Amino acid sequence: MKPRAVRAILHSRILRSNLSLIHVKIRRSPRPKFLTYRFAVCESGRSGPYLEAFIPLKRVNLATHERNGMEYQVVIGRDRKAGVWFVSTTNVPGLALEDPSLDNLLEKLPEAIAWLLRKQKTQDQHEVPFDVLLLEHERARIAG
Amino acid sequence: MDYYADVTKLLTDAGCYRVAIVRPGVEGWESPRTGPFLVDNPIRSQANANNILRNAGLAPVFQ
Repeated sequence: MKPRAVRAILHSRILRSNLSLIHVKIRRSPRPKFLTYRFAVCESGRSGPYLEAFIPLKRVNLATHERNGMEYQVVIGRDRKAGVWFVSTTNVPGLALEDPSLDNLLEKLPEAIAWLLRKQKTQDQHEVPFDVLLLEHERARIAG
Repeated sequence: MDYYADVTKLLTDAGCYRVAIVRPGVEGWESPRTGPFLVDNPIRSQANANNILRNAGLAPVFQ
């Protein structure tokens, strides 16, 4: 996608919010499997980015990726403050889930992924493999 | 803290709408920008609330 087209999309999105779009930096995502572009929107008079996010500007054809050997991955993180496990990173478009119980969250995942891929209408297979990675930060106190 | 009411308000304001109950506590929504995505009910995690907004093509607002 050309920068002019990206700017046009961003302008239409920003117009819906109360931000003023002053500057846009576009570069390819460092994680190419997401096929997204990273952009920064700066407010007038500010040097730093006001808003920075990955926005999928390009539709991903999941069926093509699957045929090319793409694997779906779901990284589950722990929100200690809220007391829940949640999907922190994934390449399944639209997937965001949480549950206080890790077992329940793992039970929800296949049904949720199946619904999303069915709605995308790009998946004609009956079963789609996906990896689940758990990310938990702990501390070990070493007595001195 | 339940972010569900705030998130769904932002989503409906952006033109998103609920299309299905995928399973109890998990709703299927449709965004005119990004297509289908999931919304938990309730939403207890702030990070998850921001992820839902990102999936709908919106900027994360919860800090």
